Amino acid sequence: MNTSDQPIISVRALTARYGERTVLDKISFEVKRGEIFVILGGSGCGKSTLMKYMIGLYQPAEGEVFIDSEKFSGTDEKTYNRILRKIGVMYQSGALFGSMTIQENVRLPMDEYTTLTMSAKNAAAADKLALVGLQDSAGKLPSELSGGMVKRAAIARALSLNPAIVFLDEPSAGLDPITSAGLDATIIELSRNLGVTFVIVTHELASIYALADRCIMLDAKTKGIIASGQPADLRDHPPNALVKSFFHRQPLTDTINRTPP
Amino acid sequence: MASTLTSTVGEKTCAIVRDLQNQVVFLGQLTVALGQVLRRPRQLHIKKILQIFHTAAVDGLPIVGLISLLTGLIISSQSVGPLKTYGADIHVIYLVALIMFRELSPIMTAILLAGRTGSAFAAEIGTMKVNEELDALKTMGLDPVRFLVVERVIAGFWAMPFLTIYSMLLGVAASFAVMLGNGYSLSALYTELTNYCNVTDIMEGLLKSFFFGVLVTGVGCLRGIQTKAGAAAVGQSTTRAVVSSIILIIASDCIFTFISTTLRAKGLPF
Ligand SMILES: Nc1ncnc2c1ncn2[C@@H]1O[C@H](COP(=O)(O)OP(=O)(O)OP(=O)(O)O)[C@@H](O)[C@H]1O
Ligand SMILES: [Mg+2]
Repeated sequence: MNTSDQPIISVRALTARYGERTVLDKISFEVKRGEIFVILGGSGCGKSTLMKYMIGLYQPAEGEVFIDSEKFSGTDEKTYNRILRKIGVMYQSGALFGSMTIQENVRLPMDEYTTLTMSAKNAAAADKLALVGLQDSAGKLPSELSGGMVKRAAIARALSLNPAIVFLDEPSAGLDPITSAGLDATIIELSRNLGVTFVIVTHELASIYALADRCIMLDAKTKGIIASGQPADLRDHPPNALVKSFFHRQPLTDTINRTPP
Repeated sequence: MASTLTSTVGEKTCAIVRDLQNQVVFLGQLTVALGQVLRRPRQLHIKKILQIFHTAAVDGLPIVGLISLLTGLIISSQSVGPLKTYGADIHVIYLVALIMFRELSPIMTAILLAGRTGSAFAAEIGTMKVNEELDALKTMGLDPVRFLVVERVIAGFWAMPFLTIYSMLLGVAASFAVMLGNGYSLSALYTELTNYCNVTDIMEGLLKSFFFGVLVTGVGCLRGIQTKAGAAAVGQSTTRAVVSSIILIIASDCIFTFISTTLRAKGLPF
């Protein structure tokens, strides 16, 4: 069933709403196994919202999300929990637990789901922290870290159970270029060596070019996908003015051409 | 005009019904989570419970003591005069003990717990909600109720009777002090207390206090979980935690008192 040419995530006609307000209207796309998939778009266009629907936090009013060909949205609790085990999530705010040290945060999913000994779990947590360059801060509380360090610790926690799919919401926001580039390299390494699928929300052009196998761009006006494809293609042949302005870092001068492809 | 009034009343009623619905659902989730924990007590973090108990109960002793002393003093000093006109001023002890044991100690302590601890729980959990930590728990497959609420409610279950006994003691002690000042001997006062009050009066108050402990901490956690987006929302949650707690304390106390009065009228040992 899990043949590699089947998409690992499939979003079908998903509509996202907050109360009466529709944020995303009937969007569909697929993420292939092992690829690095990037979600782009202006601030407030619904990128984090889309991610929360994809990880099953919200139930879609209309549409469905499939993970590994299994229906993830609106499924029974057992299936839901089984699918959850395959994914790791880093939230935009980091969402580390304030009462626990960084090490305990990274270890928490292991405490719940594995029967490893404490020393094995600590060693695994130390590995994950080393991956994001935080080996020296393991004993600190989240409140004692800088914003960028919180992000990195949250990435380490998302990787804790060696998930097949990792969702990262703006991983490089607030990081210096060197750390950011190091993080990109880590992501590429995990993707190439372990076949981990990444779904990443980001604005950083440098990151997008370095990472993305494919990307989609959301738009707040049309509440849908305004462009999709490989970033270099979109840069060289932008389908409309918004995409062009985004990839060339230009202010949006005319909005006449802002029609979806 | 009339239609806006009716629609406002309708909306408000719907909101109240929905809130009640949420509370019932939450009560169900809490019961399930407690059941799971009782079956596997190793999942409980005893250290965390003790820590919460310490901030809720031990740190709350001074304020509970202060209010209880004050209440005992006020009731005693104000009722000595009126009762003296009948030569019944010794019964001040009886009066204060009954009031404190059955009603005021559990109620005042619960209201103080709502203000000190319930609101703190709402703020803590509300901040976690705003910070997406509750979402993170869910995507790790961890139940926020089991993970955040169970320990707090267990701590509250033990903190309330602890504080209530302290409040009863200090209220009666204050009354003793007033009567000693009025020239009565300690043994006369003690005889008065043991002649008229019995253990069931204390038990009634303690029974309530266990219930109020769960109520206040549970409502605090629920309001925290219900927090909407934004920093202002945390403030609203703490307010809602305290207000709902006080309303529920008063409502359930009425029911308790109705039951115990009925039982007593039937001659049952209550
Ligand atoms: N909990 C919520 N309740 C109501 N509306 C919300 C909520 N969260 C987000 N929104 C609204 O949904 C829209 C999309 O928000 P979202 O957080 O998904 O944007 P985003 O693309 O991630 O933006 P950014 O790049 O700034 O993170 C916004 O207009 C926001 O106001
Ligand atoms: Mg976002």
